[in-house]
Amino acid sequence: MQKMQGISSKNKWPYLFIAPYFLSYAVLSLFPILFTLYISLTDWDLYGNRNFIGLGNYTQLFLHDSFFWRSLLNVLIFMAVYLPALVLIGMLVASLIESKLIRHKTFFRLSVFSAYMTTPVAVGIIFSLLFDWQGGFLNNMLMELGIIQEKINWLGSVSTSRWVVILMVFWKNLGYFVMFYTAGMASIDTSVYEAAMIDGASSKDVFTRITIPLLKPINLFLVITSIISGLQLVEEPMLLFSGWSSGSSMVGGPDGSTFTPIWYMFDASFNGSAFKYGKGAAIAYGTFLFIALFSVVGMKWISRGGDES
Amino acid sequence: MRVRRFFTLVLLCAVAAAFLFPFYMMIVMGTYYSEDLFKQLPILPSNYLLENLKTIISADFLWNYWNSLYVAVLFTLVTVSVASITGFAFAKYEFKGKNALYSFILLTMMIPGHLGLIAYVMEMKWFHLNNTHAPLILAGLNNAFGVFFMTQFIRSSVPTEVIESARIDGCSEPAILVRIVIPFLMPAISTLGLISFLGSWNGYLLPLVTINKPQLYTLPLGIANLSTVFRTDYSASILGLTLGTLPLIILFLFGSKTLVRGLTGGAVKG
Repeated sequence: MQKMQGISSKNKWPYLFIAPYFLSYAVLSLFPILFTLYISLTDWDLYGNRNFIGLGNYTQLFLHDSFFWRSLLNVLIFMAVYLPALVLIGMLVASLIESKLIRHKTFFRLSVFSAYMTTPVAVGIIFSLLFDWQGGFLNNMLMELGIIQEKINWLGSVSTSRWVVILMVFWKNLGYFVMFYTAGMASIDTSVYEAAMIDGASSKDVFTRITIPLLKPINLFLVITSIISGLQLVEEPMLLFSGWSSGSSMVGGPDGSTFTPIWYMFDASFNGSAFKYGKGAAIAYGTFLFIALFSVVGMKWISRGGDES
Repeated sequence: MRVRRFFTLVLLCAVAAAFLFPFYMMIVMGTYYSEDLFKQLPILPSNYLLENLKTIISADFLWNYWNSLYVAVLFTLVTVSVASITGFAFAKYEFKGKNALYSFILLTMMIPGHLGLIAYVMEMKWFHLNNTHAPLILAGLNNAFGVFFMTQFIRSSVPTEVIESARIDGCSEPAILVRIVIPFLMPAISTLGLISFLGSWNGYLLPLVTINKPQLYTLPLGIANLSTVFRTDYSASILGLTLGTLPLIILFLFGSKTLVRGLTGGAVKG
């Protein structure tokens, strides 16, 4: 079949067709990726230093830099909370939407998904206004209802500002998860359910024994892509502390509690007076190392979880 | 059954409300006089919309809007055309090294986008392209996901017989692509186009590190900086936010089905 589709391998056209992609990939992606690796082995900065220092940046980063470990720990803490929540609540909401009892499925699907479409900038700013200390909607409402006596500085303390970031990422991504789950549930053959019902399975059994195992490939995809993008989290927390709400203009949030590795990379190489490209490049590759590591762990974890059931 | 249905509905409505509420807040807050914003709970719209509109128009806001629009359109065109041409070659030709090259593309989809950022910014400076929109548009040239998506689509929905018969009739290979294949690709083009437009329109970090002239800012940069332009005028800035989200909402209302199919298609089938 495949052979019949093709034409003579001597033809020049396929090579001409793929040339723009691969040429631009070489110049605009591959070269920057490799050159960043080289930069990470130097003390390159804006002021003319270009000395090769071997693994100096990496030993500094891994052995002496508490900011790097803290930023990495932050994104891992965030993920440890919102990823299980996204998977569980995502499946739950999706199964509610897909249940036979509900009409207007599109409306519910789209309203949950709308957050995912929104610019990270808008998400960050909306949340910084909702959770603002003095004039924020949440504090004003809680005061009005008499639930709290004194306004809470949500974005001013370590634990509450972490919760705000977790809530923000959860809010933004739940629609994405729900979309995948509803698409996956819709593609499950209904006769499987009918057969289970005839055999007397309860709807809880159907959900845990049929729906969840059949969604395994989707879960694998969602968890792996979430790990890759979750470790690169940067724009939302950055905009949350961009100075829109009272007294929240600080790098990394209170005590660096919402600092992230890519934010650190940006801060080291493009912000303020540092412009330490070598350090920034080492942060990029250090983060990449952990992304690869956690992706493999995630894949193992999900594949094993499937075998037990 | 009826009770369960009622509870399901209530639960779903609560979820929908929790998701739509921040948008509602954003729209309403843009209609207030800034000082009134923090005096009461801004739940119903106020009457200061036009004044706020005047305030943001007097800033560089319209320029930001235009910049974002044309960058997103060009980015989308570049992404879709390169992905279609490359996908066509991978789907309908046999050539040496094809499988290796295709696996390479799939592999690069796993590499985080920020890995080469520092050197990319430097490279753009060497080409004297910093403080232009070129770095934002050029980034669309090698979209690995786009190629993957187009290859899959062309493989499954463009019949090889049609291509063969056009070839027998003496049609040249580029003409086959333009006249025969492209018309089949419209659903895939609109899906990939929508995803690309969304990505470009929402992008923040890349313009932040390549552009530092306010007239050249794209919308997300412009909005983020509205707060420094008018420190005190929150409602004007929030109105800017609303206007920046508006095109996406419109695009989404018309294209949600295509978009969702595109986002979920690959993973659900696989």
